[in-house]
Amino acid sequence: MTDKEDTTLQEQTGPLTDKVYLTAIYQRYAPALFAYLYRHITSLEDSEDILLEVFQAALERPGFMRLGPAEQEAWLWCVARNKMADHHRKRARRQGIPLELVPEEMYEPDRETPETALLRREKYEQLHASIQRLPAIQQEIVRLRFAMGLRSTEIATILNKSEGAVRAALARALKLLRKIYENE
Amino acid sequence: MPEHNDFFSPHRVDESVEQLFARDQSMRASRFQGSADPNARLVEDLQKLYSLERKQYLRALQRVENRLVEQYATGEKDAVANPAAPGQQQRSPRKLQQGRLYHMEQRYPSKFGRRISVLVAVLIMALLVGSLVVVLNVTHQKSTVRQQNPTTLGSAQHPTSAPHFGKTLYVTPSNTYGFEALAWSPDSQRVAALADGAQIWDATTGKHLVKVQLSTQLAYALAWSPNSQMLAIGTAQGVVIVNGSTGAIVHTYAVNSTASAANVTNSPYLAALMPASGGLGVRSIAWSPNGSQIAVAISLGASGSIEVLNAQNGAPAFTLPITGNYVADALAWSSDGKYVAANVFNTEPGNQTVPQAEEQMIWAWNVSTRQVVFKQSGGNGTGDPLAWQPGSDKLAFVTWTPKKGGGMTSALAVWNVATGKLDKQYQAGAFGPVAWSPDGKYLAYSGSLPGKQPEANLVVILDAQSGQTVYVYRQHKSIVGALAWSPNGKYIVSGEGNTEGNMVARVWTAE
Repeated sequence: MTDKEDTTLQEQTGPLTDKVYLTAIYQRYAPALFAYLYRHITSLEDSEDILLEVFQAALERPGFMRLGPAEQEAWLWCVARNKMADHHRKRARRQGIPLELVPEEMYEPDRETPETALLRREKYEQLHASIQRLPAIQQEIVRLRFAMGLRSTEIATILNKSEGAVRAALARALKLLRKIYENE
Repeated sequence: MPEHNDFFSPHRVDESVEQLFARDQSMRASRFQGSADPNARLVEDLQKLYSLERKQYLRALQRVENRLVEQYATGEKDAVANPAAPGQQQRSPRKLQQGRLYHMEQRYPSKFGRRISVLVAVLIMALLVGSLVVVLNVTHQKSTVRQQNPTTLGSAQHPTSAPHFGKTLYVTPSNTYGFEALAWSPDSQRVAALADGAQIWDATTGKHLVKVQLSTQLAYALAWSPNSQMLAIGTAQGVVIVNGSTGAIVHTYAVNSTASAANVTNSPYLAALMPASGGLGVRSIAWSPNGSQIAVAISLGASGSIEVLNAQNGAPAFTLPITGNYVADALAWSSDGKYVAANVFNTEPGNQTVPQAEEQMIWAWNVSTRQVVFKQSGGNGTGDPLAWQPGSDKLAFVTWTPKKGGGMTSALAVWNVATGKLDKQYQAGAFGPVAWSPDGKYLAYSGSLPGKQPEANLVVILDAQSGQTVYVYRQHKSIVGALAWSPNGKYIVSGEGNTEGNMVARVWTAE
């Protein structure tokens, strides 16, 4: 998550089919939206589908691209929240298709790199155990930061907290975890 | 040190983490060397801890992006010309595959229509489930037939003409952590595996014969007795000898907890280096070729030793010393019984006094003099990255050298331990287990083809003489952490491990 490309997005007035525009807007908002959806839906496939629907809805909304970045973001979040609520309502009536019928290549098991395989599992046992002992909210913030790669402001939106509170909790968690490495 | 304490202060915590990410990227050159800065090490370890999950998310995001681009950037004319109302958006290809319910809901907007649609949907579901059951049944029957077919592995009936590399005979699942170790019995009749405890299965059918009832799940090593009667299992507590056919425990030898062990457990950081949470542990086992002794690599946390036990009664016979803060985690006995080789690793990552080349090493001892006669940089912690060529004093192992512009490049080296000379070196993306064919002609390794990093889940077979790649087995979906060539030379068992997921072991032809 580097500099926000405000100007690029604002000035972009090309057609919806412009791949650059599409990619820019997706890459800017999708990670946090996805983290939010996945947190509430817990099924990776469903989260993916709904994320796609959110962007479809945006791209098909007349005038979406003429909105300012803040409005675009607000609009996307609004759609995501509605879709998520829809999903939970629907789920009561509609059962998912058995996993066996989903084409397999789309969800192939995780491939590993030699580097990660080299790591001794036990080396992380203590770190892992320490994370487990953190308060639930701090665990979640650490996960959103390191697994999802989100910044405090995005985490704050997802958790419905102030950015300051997230920063304080993240700082506290990291300082606690750092103790493992300090007493050598 | 106010600055140090403030590194993760609330107002700059994001920036600090990102600064370390960036630094981490540029410091990847040193693969084994940890940084001494606790902040950097914490961030680096957290990154690694979450790397699997992170990759999963990134792939999910990429998939959605691809679908989006596919629909809108390839000129989805309808979407542009006729901006659809919400609810009538283009369905993704995936949604279409997920069943026709959606379409039906749209086609029959009335209550009655909806009822019919539900009815149809139920019928379709019933049909799908029914066909699924039938398909599953048929495949299950097929696989049972295949597994029970004695000719698949029977040496006498085995066809002799066609090429025999890489035909998968059966697949065995494990727990989520995969296979810690795999070993063929010397008579090639059984395979022992460490995955969620120890198990012994029939090599012909893959049928699980026995599960060894260990008092601890923390087992790290396996070794068969040369007569195939006994199996030694190294656990966090000691060595367990079981009957190779029944899995019944015959002896249990506890590891002597020495004073030095008690000392190291006081330090929380060193405790992190102990095998899992089990504290003391046996990292590796090798049975002497004449069957009389068992070499056991013992980890005391910060240091370790190799104890050689009398195989009959478990009494300590002698010790192969490990000086310095090293622990051995893979052992191999040369086929003439003269040498024991081990992969040792330094237990103080980040200690500046230990040169990088000495953080991971291959050592060999002359068993009769108990002296270290061979030391070279090499090996790593995955599987058994070293193997003696059958019938010789040559030892093959994984080596690493720093690459220009960062990163490490791996190779396979074969050293003559008796003369101390490098015999062969192969360009190979090997990082884990290595196995010789029993005739010493071929070397199998787990990893990737040289120069082709993305494909890491391979088992590659090299001609040891020419260094040519003879065969590449591509059926694994995850990194192979354990590998063994059957002593009759016909098969290889390769097991996924060291990651999380649905790990399997595969037995395939290799002659």
